[in-house]
Amino acid sequence: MRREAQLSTQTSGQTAPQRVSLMQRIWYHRTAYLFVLPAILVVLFVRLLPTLEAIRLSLYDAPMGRPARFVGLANYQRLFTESQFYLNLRITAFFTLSVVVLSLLAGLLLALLLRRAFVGFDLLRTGLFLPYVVMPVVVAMMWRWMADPVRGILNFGLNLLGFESIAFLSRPLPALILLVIVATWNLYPFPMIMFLAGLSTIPEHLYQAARVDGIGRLRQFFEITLPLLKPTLFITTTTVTLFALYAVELPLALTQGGPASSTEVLGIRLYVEAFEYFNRGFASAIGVVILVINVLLVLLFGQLFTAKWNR
Amino acid sequence: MRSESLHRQGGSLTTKLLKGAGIALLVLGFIGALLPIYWTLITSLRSANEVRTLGIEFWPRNPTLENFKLLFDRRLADYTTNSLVVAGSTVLLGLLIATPAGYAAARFHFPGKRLLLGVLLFTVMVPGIVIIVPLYIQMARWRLLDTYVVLIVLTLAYVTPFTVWLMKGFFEAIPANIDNAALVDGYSPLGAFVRAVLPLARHGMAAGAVYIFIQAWNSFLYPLIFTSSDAVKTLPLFLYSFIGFYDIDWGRLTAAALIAASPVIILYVLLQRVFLEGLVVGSVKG
Repeated sequence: MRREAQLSTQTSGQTAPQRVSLMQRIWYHRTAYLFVLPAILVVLFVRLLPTLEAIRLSLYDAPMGRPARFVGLANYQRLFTESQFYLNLRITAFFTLSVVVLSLLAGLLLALLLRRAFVGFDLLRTGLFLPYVVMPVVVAMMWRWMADPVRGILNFGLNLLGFESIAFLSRPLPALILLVIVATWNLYPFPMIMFLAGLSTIPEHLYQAARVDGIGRLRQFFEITLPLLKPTLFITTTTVTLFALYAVELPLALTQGGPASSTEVLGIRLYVEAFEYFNRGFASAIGVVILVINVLLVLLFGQLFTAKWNR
Repeated sequence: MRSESLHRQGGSLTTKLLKGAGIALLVLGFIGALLPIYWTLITSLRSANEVRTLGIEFWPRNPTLENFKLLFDRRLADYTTNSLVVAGSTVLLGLLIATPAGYAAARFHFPGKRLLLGVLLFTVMVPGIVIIVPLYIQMARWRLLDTYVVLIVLTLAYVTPFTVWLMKGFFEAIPANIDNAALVDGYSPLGAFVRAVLPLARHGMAAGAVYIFIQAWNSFLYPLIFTSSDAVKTLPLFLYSFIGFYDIDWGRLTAAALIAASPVIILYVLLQRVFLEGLVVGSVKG
């Protein structure tokens, strides 16, 4: 007991004297503030303030070399009235939705199967997770080579199955589909490992009881496994959605938005506007749109997952 | 894994078929996960001439290290050094920053804690690409473009929130009695942290280090935008410089891809237990 009392006087605010000045309170908790200060400073100056600056910049016409000029909502007006933006939006939605659904399904399926694997569990897990740690540029290179129209293994496979070769990178729809496949290949290990961890927290006796009651495997999955995976499902869906929405490196290295803007997700559009056309204000407006979509999606997922299940 | 005995009970044909299908699917997934890497490996072991003229081969007929030998020049050495300096510094600084913050988040109660953690969580939701323009302008103003510092600082800011969460999770798993005993022994909170708790958190720090190293080593967008000279550019840009040639030398490119990707792959294979645990711990809290 004495020990706990000691810790709380050192570290908790509950025993801090009442009616003291702010400075005294900060001094009292100096160790705690000292500990978090470096992290907070880095995040403040290199993430948070730039976010606010991006919002401010989106209201300016800010070309290279000339002073920025306040233009109000003109950047947004231009953005919302051009057809290219809606194309970007559609591509982003298609890409994100496909990657999220495919990688979650693949991750869940593999986690379920992996959990039942008795032989070679470690080897299988190591191999199945490997795509996640390969750097995006290398991922893009590997798949560009595999998608080569003449010497690529993808077309070799297609020919084997009786299909004609596809020039993946020079046709719009095949390029987009390839991008989805590659991003899924790169990302599914994350949901897989999360589900694997989530599954291991489900007590085995629940399944035993279900079996005793004669409940089949499919019903066990829907009535035990899935409900107990909800928290994992929420975190994983949110994270993978943000990953997919952030994705710039992979599309940039794989297709560079082409051919004919067919793989130009919002992030690539922002990159092109900012660093090829130097429309920094306009690019920032695209950034704000991405940010708003992100925040809305996170709130939506939060609502969906908590409202339905936790309350 | 513990349910083996249960499986044995249901030995009907359908169960066996399902089980067989499951194993087949698992093996198929395994092959799908590794095929691109394997394909890259065997391409890199074929001579340029073979890659250009011969068709699909699942086993290199005349394996050669020619592609790797051709790659080893001054430029590759420079880029590798740059990658190592940037990733190494980011790991050290990242741990230095995130470990105490994670400890404070796990143990201390102080005014404003919720707000600070909320800010960290919010910045996780801000995609890097959104702030790239303000960052570019700011770094240009500070004359930091094309330096190691800019790459280190940007990656550091990116990895900090997740690493703090990761460390918080690991510290929460250490009993508070450890801290208390040290405090009773007369240590200050700082002393208790350094002497008593930190040695027990080596696992978490290793997980954080692997996470940061992978992020820093694989980072492509930051070097692409913020660096321009060979003295600072990192390995992903070495690979990217191959793109755009009309006739890509795939033997050489795949060899370069393997060189660039292998440190992270080796690190992952060696430390996967720790890394995967960290990934789960950091994500669950975040």
